[in-house]
Parts: sequence; C-alpha cells; structure tokens
Amino acid sequence: MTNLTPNIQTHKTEKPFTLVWERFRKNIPATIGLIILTLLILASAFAPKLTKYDPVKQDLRVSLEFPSEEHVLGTDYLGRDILTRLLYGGRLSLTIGLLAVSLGLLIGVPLGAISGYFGGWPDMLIQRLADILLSFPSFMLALTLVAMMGVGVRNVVISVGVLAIPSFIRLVRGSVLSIREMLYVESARCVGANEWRIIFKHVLPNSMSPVIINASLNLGYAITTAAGLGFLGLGVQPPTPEWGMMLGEAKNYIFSHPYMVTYSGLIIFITIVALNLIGDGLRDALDPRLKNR
Amino acid sequence: MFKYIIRRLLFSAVTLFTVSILIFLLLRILPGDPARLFAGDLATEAEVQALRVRLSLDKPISTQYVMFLKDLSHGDLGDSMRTKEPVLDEIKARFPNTLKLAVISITIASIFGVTGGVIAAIKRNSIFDALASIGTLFGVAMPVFWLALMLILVFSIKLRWLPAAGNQYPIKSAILPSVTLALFSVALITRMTRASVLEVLSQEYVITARAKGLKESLLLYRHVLPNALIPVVTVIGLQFGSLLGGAILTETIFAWPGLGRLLTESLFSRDYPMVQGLVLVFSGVFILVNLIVDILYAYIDPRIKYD
Repeated sequence: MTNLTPNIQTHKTEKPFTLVWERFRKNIPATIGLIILTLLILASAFAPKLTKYDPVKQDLRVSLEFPSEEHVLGTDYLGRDILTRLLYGGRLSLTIGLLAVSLGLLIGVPLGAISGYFGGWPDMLIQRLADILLSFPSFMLALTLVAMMGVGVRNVVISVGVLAIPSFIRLVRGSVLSIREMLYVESARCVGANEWRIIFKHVLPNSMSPVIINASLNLGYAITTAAGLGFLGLGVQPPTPEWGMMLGEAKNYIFSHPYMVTYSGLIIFITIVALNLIGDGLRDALDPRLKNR
Repeated sequence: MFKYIIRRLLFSAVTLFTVSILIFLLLRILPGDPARLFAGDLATEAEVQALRVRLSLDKPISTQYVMFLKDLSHGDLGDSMRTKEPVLDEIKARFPNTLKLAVISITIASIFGVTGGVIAAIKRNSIFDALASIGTLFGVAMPVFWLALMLILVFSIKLRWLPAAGNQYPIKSAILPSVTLALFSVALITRMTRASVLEVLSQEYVITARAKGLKESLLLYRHVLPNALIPVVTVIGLQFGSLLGGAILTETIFAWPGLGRLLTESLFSRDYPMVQGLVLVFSGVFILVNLIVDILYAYIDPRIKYD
C-alpha cells in the first residue's frame, strides 16, 4: 500500500497494424508464403519485360516443340511459348481469384452483419439463404452456374464468388453477435448513434480478424475452383492464357509430351501453398489464442 | 433430442424444396428460349414449337412448376434429351459407381487421417509432426485435377501399373481415382484429428488421470480418443457428403462412369432435364448426408443439448 498512483505511462500502445505485422514477420513459413506470392504477382505483372514472346500469337511452324534454349518450357499445340503463357496466365488466374473473393466479401459481410446485429426475420431470411447456398456441393454449383450463364471472366467470377458468400455470412454473424453485447456498442447507442453507423463504425471493424483470415484461405480455394472450370473448358475464353485452361489443353498431349501437364498445375499448387501459409500466419498474428490449433 | 431431429428434418425438407424451385427457375429465366436451346441450333421453328409443347414450356411458369413437382413426387425427373431415357434411370445406373469411389476414398482418408493426426498430436513437435503438417499443407493445396494427371503420368504412362481411364477392372480401375479423391480428405482429417486430440490432452480430466498414475496407452484409449474423435466423425461425415457430390473433375479425368462425369457430359451436350435432375439429386444427397451427420453428432456427444 505504498504507491497507489496508476502506472499509465510505462505501457506503450502500438498501432494494431504494426503489432500484427511484427507477429506475422516472425512467422517464417508465413513470410516465405508472402515472398512467393509477391514474386508470382510481380512475374505476371511484368510478364512483357520478362519474355520476348507474345502469349496469344500462334506460330504453327514451331508447335509442340520440346524444351530448348529458345523455348525454355517448350511450345504448346499452337506454337506459343509455354513459359510466356504461364507468366501472362497468372494475371487472369490471380485476378479472378481476387475478384471472386471480393464479391463474396462485398455480399457476405454486410449480410452477416445485418443478420447478427438485427436478429429477427432478417436474420432468419439471411441464414436460410446461407443454408441454401451451402446445400449445393460447391464445385457443382460453380460449374452449373457458369455453364448456364456462359463462359467468360465475368461469369467465372460470379460463379466462384457465390461460393464464398455463405462462409462470410456465418463468420461475420458469429462475431457480430458477440460484439453487439460489448460495452462500447452500448455506449454508442446511448449517445444516440444511428444503427448503421454503429454497425459500420464500431461492430464491423472489430470483427475483421476472422474475415481477413477467411478471405486469404478462400482466395486459394477460389483460384483452384476457377482453374478447375478453365480445365474443363468452361472458364476464360481462348486464346487468353489462364492456368486451368492451359492444363486442360496440355492434358491432350499427356502421352506425347507428358512434361506439359506438370507446369501450370505446379504453379497453381505453389500459389495455393503460399496462400495457405499466409492465411495461417495471419490467423496466428491476428488471433494468437488460436495458435497451434 | 426427438424434437431436434424433427426440426432438422423439417428444415432440410424446406431447404430441398427451395433448392428445387431455384434449379427449376435457373433453367427457365436465363436469357434465351429454353426450347430453342434444348432443340439445338439446327432445329426448325416447327420442331422448336413441338418441343415447347412437349416440355410444357408454352404454359405459365407456375403451372410448369406444379407439373414438375407432380412428376417429381412420382419419381419422374423427365427424359434425357441425349439418350431419350428417363433421367432417373440413368442416375440410378451411375450412382453405384460414384458411391463406390466415395466409400473407398473416405475409408482410405479416415484410416490415414485419424492415425496420422493422433500420432502427430501425441508426438507433438517431433519430426513426424513436422512431416505431417507439411504433408497436410500439400494435401489441401493440391488441385485435384492436377493430382489426377500426375498420378496418371506416373502410374499409367511411366510405370504402366494402373489403367488411366475407364472402369474395366473392378479394383485396378478404382485405385487412381480413389487416391486422387482421398488426398484432400486425408489432409483435412489429419489436421482436425491433431487439433482435437491436442485440445483434449490439455483438459483437466486428462491431467487428473495422469496424476493418479494411469498408463499413457490406457489414458489415450479410454479418455482422450473417445472425446477427441467426436468432432472428427463430423468432419469425416461432411467429407463423405462432398465426395459424393465433388467427384466431378476426378470422374471426368478418369472417364469414370459416375454421376459427376454424367453432369459434365450433360452440361456440354446441353441436356437440361438431365442437368436439372442431377443437380437435384446431388443437393438432395448432400443435404441428407449433412442431416445424418448432425443427428449422429447429437447422439455421440451427450454433452450437447438440442432444444
């Protein structure tokens, strides 16, 4: 009972972002994942600087050539340099994944917030919507949607994005339900803040951790699903290169040019591994309680 | 408990009913004339009109849905545009093949996943644990269509041990597709088992049991596993459900005559009645499996109260 002065000054408050970044950086696998992903993005962004070939121009005189100094990974059935197409292909594959997850976020997060915050009939309605979306096997849903709507980037994004919606609805609803009862929300309500202001200013920002983690893991899933559609010929329209479609084309030459089917699959695999490492790293950094689960 | 089951059954019925409306609408509100689409580009206007009448597309949409439900209640899903056979007969003929793959895969996945997960958890931070976590990372990241091609490349083309496609040999033909399907589930079940066993190991009753000198093996079998495996059973059940509906790419690559390949074939040949029937069956099975898993879960975990 000697010193009752509260010791406030000694505790240094850090910005949440810095704190998360510090924790993330110490996680070696996650950092490796981030480096791989950065390299993949840079490689596809600077594709024109990295290769002298055109990704879509055909040259049938050099079709199906084996790897050589000229064409490091060989050429495809239309004489296009495979390495070039892989580099350019990343643009579409990564963008489609990103757009699809953004679509899931943009629709799922507000719906989940409304569902959790207001309860009652909006909650009931939104939860049934999520139930229905979850009652389709996911790849079947994407495949059927894109086959019905027609191929092309926009429709692939919609079909794949729809799959991501229910997980965001469920997640956000769950965390909003608990945050809604917090004292600071009650205080905001007491000073007469508008319901929507409370949701967007106070509730949602505090339920972002699981959303960010889910988004990073969903991104990998969206890229694989879109590639699966491309593989079946129901993705992007040729001749634009896309990893899944390239693998589907290579499959036809598996007997004569077996090495061709390794390339684009391997690159999708590496991308997903990187995204998973980042996702796990983010989870540990944002929510240390979940560590080692 | 009984009330819970009834409520879940009702919910599932409502969901399936809504799903049927969605599928029904999806095929009818899309741009373009479905009869024209069904008939193909080469059909004459008279042929399209005949088809329109045959499929009742000339009637109002509500009447069409009532007719669709009426047929459905008799188990009539219409006839395939491609083979002219009843859709349900084709689905019945193909279903055993899909079921076969799903059963083999889930068996492989459960054995390897549970064993791997338990060992990884009790030998935490060992070399085995590290290998298991790298293995599961690769397992969840591997695109199923690429894995299928790599297996074909190695075991069919290079080594010539196993057939690359078809269903001629009862066992040999099923190996590659089942392994392809199983890998993702192995990874998921391993992760889930490991996490769940670790969670139980940190519980107080386990510490108490240890403190009173219970042998480790007995502790594992009597106290840890029964509790740790409850959530694992759920994951296995849900994985089984998605294997039944998620074998589309695998079946297509291995030319396996199951429902998944039937769906891709029907989508490509624009066989809409078949697509409609398949989507309905897929979702029905999926909903049913999830329902069974939920009810099972309530049974095996007496701590959960459902009211």
